Amino acid sequence: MKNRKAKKGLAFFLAWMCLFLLYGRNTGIVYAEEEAKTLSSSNLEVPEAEEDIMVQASTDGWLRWLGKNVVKYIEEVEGISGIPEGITYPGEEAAVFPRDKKITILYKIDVEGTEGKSYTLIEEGAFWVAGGVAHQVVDGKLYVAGVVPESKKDFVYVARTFYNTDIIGGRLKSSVLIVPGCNGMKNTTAVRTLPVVDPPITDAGAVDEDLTFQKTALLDGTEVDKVVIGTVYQYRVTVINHLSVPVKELEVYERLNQNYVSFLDAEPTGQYDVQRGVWTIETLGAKETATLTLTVRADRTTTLNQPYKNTINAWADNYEVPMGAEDKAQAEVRIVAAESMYTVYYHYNDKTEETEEKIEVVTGTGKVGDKIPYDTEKREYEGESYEFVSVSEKGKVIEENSEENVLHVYYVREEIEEPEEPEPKPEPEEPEPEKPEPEEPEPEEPEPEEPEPEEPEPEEPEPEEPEPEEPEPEEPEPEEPEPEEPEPEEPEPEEPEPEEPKPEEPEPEEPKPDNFETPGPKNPPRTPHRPERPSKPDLPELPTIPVSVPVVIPSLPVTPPNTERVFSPPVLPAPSVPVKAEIAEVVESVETEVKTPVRVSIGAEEKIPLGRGRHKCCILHFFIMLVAFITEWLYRVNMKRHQKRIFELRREIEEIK
Amino acid sequence: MVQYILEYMFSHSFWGLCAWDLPALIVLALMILIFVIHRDKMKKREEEFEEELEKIQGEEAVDSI
Repeated sequence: MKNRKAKKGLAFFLAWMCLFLLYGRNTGIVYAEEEAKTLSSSNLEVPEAEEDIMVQASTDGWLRWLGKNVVKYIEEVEGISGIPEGITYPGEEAAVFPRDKKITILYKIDVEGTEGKSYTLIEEGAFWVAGGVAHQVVDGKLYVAGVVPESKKDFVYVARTFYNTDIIGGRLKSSVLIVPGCNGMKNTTAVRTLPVVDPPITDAGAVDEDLTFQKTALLDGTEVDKVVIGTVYQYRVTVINHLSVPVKELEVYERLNQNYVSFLDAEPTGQYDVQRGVWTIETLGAKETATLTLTVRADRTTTLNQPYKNTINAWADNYEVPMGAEDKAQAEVRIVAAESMYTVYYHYNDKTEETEEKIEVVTGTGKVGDKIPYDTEKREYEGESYEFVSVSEKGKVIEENSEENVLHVYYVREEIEEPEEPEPKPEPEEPEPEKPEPEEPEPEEPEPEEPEPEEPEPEEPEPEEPEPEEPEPEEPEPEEPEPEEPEPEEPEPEEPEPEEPKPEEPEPEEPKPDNFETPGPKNPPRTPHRPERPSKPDLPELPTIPVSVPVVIPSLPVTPPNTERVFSPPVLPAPSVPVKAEIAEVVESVETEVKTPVRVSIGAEEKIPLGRGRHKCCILHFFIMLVAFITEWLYRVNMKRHQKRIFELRREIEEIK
Repeated sequence: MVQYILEYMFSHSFWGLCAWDLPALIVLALMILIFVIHRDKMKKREEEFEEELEKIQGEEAVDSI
């Protein structure tokens, strides 16, 4: 009986193990397909290796060899169906890359490892040709899932199309990433580079008789070589076929530099590919001309020595356009900053008070950011010779607002000598005390208010409170929030205050015409001081400062109307509708994102250490342990039952004895 | 929340063999072995006590006759 039971148990165990092994292998294939789907939605990136790592073997895990090789001859791929057309087989030497065209290379990827193991190959920009269990392309990346066969060697054929922009250092680089199936094995990369060469130049001397190109930059129909930033202008590209036969599939490379210009429109439409910068002409008949007009906007300024050059090249399907000088056409455009008007006042003074100051006004335009130009050699004016003294704001830069672009250049007559200089000195000093004088009595009232702007709210209640409650001047300090209450009361008594400064406002306006030399004839005859003259316009501005202080206080009662404007109904409702619509769109987009749990879980797995390996974990051992614990529980229950029975039996025996 | 946890678990796990399965199987086998051995022992002991009880009860019946 015991032998029978043991045999039965052993047979059951072996059968279970066989089934389990078979199941595990089958699920490996399923896993490979699922893994490809899972990886496709992740952000796994194929690394761009700098070195040419042709093969790389994994030191741990089941993967022993990963290799990537260029299929050099078509004979190497015999027996494999579905090889696409247009593959270039480079042979032993470098591949000939058709100028300004594409090339498709076929690669063979070798995977060597333990039988039955699953893997996923990822290659950017490639498309599947043969091999593997499942494959798909997501976001420009090819995912091929496979399982190592009994021969322990697996092959996958992929192809990739390269463009001239993919050539780096005369080579085409292509790398493949393998993601092993389980147990946190590291990803391995194999990189293969392929040298490329240009096709030989032929027929270079016959350029003038074949195809010619013209390119011009136009602004409102006029050819330009300089535009102001923000200007919308056109590039007109013309291709002339001088041949007696039509040229087919002519591709003119007219790539716009997005750093300088923005593409707006192309005419004729449908022929120009902005992304590739290619103008495609299906057929250009004999002796015919084709024209492309690109409308662009100048976005960034160019330097003087490096204007924005845009060169066009061309390639035709049935005619190889030589790379001579004539098949290139470029238009140089210098993008400059916006210009603005500036005004220079040349002041010609005698050193006597009797003669009026003569002013010559010179206006001009210049680029924003440049210095306002002025002439220090304008020594002769109205038949008299003068000597240059100074410039008001030397090195002042042209700004967009032309009203601020004002410069004053001062000259004095050479004949007059220095002894008259002390006389004018008191003159400028006189108006200085005169101007503050009328303002001093007025600021007397706001004088106690001058410190208020620095500590405005707590100090304002103080002058009111000390009258009824003198012993409590210290309380406002700890009770800071209280000053908020007297605020609404203050504007009422302060209402008359804004009326007071109103008469002050015209007062500072009066010295302004004196400060600015625009009304030259109104100025009293003044004799300039050589070094002090430029600083003179600054001095009268000083008394305006105390005037501005009381202006700040009346601004307080002005703020309430500003706050009322915030609640003005006609402004807010209008934008509220599109804002709600935008919010609704955002909410919808958020909801749609939440509805895709796969994305959420993948984003979360990056934070989970086990998920970093981009692999699935076998959970069989967890279930085995679960069965083990259940067995232990059954064992305990069974033992208890037996012990109880034995205890009862022993008790009965003892009772009988 | 539970749904996402379960989705994560099932999307990141699969049935198959790995290095941890062997020790788990050994543990399970030992547990089953110990269970079977102890169960047999306890059964044996139980049977012995039952036989002893029957024997005593038989002797008592003979005495009473």
